Amino acid sequence: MNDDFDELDRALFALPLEEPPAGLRRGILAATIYAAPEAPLFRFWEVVLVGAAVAFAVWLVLRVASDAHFSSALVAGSLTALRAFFAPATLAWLAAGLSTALWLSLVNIAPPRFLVRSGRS
Amino acid sequence: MKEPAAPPDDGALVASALGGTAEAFGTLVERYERAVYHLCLRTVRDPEEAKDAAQEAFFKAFRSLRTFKTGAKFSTWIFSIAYHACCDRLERRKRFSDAELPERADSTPGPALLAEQRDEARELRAAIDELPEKYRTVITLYHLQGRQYEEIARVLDVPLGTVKTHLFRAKELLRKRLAGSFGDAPAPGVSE
Repeated sequence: MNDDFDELDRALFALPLEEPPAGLRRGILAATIYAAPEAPLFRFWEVVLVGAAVAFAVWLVLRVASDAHFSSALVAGSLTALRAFFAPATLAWLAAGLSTALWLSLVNIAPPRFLVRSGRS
Repeated sequence: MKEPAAPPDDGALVASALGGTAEAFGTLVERYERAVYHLCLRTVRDPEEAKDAAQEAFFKAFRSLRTFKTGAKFSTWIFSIAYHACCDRLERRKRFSDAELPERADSTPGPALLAEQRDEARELRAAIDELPEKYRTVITLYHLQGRQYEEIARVLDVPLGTVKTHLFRAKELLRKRLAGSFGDAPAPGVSE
């Protein structure tokens, strides 16, 4: 191969690199080390909640499968709980509690005027 | 008198970045930003696209820093990522018709470009930009960035002999295009 490129080589090696655009480094750093970390798919409490629900479901299935009386007891217990919840007395107390909460949220509990005035003087 | 501590090598910086020291990656960006941008600029021949390609290369490198092999050269790795990012862009560009990119279709140098080409460096740069992509990249890595044949072969994923051949042909073409400016007359039979 003819490799007589001395002058061309000299010129090529002497050729300075172009300066990168001003915002390049800032852009790279913003997209890499200064970028906000990616949000995890699930939050910690969500993982705990889902884990607890799954564990409870597994426990329930195992109990139902292993104990013949458990399912009937479970159904009976659930029905009792539902009946108790929908009992007139429970509903009445629930209504009283909700209306009290609503009333408290509407009441103006700002301090009386005379107290505010005396506080300023 | 205490000697100043030697700057950490690229491998140590990668290890620090993986260990959670974000500034270590910043130092790598500082070291290679110019060279990577230059490689992209020579490959895609468009400053705006070169900027995007360089940014993309560093972003990809940051995201896959864990895959960087211990003992490998960071420069080879980042150049390889940048080169492939540029190839993807050239491939995408090919899919567009000339009508969509009129500024690229017009190869006649305008008055501004002619004025730019007056001095030797600009003339040489313009001649490099006219080379086919494979030759342009080899010239850029070898002459302008001082990379060794072996490293260029790894970056471009081609045999060592191909690098040498491309370099020779690139220089022949350059000499032909810059006839009268550098060296002897071109060797006969060299074509793109």
